[in-house]
Amino acid sequence: MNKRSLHSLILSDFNSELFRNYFVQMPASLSVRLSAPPFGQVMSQLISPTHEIWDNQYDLMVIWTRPEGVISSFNRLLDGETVALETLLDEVKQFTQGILQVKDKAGMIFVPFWLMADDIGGLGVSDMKVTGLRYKLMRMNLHLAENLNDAGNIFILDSRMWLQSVGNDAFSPKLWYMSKIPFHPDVFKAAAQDILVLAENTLLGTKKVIILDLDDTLWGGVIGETGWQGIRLGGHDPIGEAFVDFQRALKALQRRGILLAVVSRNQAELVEEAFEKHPEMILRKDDFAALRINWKDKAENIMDLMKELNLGLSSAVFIDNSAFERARVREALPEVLVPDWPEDMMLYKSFLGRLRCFDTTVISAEDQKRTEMLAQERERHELKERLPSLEEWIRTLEITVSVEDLDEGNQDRVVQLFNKTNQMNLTTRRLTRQELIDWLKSGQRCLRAFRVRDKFGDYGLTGVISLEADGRQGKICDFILSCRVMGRRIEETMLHVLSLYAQQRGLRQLHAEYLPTQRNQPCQEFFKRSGFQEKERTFTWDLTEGYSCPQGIKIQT
Amino acid sequence: MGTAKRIMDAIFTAVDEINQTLPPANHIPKSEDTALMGPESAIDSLGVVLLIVAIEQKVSQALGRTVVLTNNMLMSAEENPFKTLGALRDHILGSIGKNSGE
Repeated sequence: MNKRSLHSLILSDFNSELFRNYFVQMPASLSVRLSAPPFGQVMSQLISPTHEIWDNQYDLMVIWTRPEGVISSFNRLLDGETVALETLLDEVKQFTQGILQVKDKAGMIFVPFWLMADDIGGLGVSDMKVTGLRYKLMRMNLHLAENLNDAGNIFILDSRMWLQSVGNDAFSPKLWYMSKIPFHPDVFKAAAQDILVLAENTLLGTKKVIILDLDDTLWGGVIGETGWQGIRLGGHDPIGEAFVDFQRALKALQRRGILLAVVSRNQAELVEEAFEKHPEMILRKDDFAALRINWKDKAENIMDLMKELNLGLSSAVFIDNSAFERARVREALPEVLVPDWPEDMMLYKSFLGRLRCFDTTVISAEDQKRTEMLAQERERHELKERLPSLEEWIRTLEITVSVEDLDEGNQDRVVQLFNKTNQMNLTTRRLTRQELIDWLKSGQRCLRAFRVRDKFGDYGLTGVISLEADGRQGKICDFILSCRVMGRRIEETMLHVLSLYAQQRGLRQLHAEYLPTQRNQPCQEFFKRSGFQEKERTFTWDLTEGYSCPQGIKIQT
Repeated sequence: MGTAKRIMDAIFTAVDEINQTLPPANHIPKSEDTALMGPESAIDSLGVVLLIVAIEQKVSQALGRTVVLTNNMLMSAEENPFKTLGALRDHILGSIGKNSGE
């Protein structure tokens, strides 16, 4: 299968060849290209709209500078001159204005924040006073972050992590004097790895579920032997404290929208008792989107659990203290990420914190509410089981669909749907925010986004449809629906809304050309039963008649 | 293990490290005859710089003493001790001998 390409650009005030070498050579799920125009000209490159580098549109841009390389007044400060903070901040503002000027040239822009080598003495012990170098550099970094804060696609990266991974040799005077490379090669390796993971997670999707074992993973000890009273969790016990911290870290991830689940060989009643009664248990049963506590094979349980959550196996991370179980799941389910896990229980939290598979540049409101939404979904399914037909269920759900144009407020989520939806996706066209905005500039094209809610709760923005008019013909370019609302007649509602619009525009027919992928068969199946006329892979609707709205669904525009 | 062997091993460790930063087609062969400079060298100037800095570090660690090579990097081709990896080992061996008064 062809990899999605990642066209990237790095602007720097130093020789970035090492970064480029690592960046393009690392094993990745993306086909990586990196342009690196001559270094040391960052400001002029940023403020010259006609510069040849801006002839291209990029998926990713890195603007990596040293403060002394782009802020001339900081250089004077290094020389021991007195420079007012305002002067420095004015120059930082000019720099950030340059960055903002090119913000539409890349889908995501990363700006590592400024660092200073340890061997720059500054004012010694007074360097963190308001006249000190380090104090002023901190203020410059803050100003950088604040000025770029409102640009949704620009991210300041904590470059200290890359240097810390190398230690005392992170800054390399030798490489600087000989090749204008300021850092040890390993700093560039860490940076390339970090940025590539962010790009992959953003474009290909992050992990969504952490599936946990229990004994010696979520708490210390074996509950089957000791009961909940005997497990190590909290108390005056270093291991117990470490497990409380580990659970806290998991809870924090859950608040960010990562689902938690349990797959454990255990007695369900004992575990439930522990979740209910242990006074220091941070995670309670309701915190888990799904649980499989039985004596079955864990790989089998994971498959079953992911099916319940309606998520692909590639969305899962499996954490288990047993090397045997990890190996078994790795072998049986290669799509599941199974990180190596430390034997030392006091390191669990650190290992969890180092997993980068959840990092993304896009965290939507929908992501943050995922656990709550799953609880609502359980209630809907319970209702469905009690009712005689799908129609009756949909009527009882009291579904309301709101229709929106693309705007600043929903762009992130719409782009996320474009890039993450696999099943109900007509053409699986992947687009960056800017590519989408550019595509919509033509008056012949339109896009509608759909928010769905029912009496149990809000599903959020879950559907996107786009149309391109050609004379009296309308081509449905994108038909995308999150799997969480599939099969609730939202598909038909989207076609109804689009057909009304198309009729108003005087179009005579709507065409939807299905482009098959390994995963979008549900979309083909929907169009086959939609009432559209099928010819090979193209489905057509004659607009002399509108596409009717499913009964029981209320539309708000 | 003799000093010459320890130096050569350290040089090869540095070569391994630098090869990680280079595209596979440009990997530096681990051989005493590998040319670092001149028309036969397959390594670009950045590769040479990175390699010499890494060799300094690895050899210093292996011998437990500071070895500085970068000061001589811009010498003329005739005198340059960096023609091959083997020549570099001999240069290091000679320089530590001189410095220690052997």
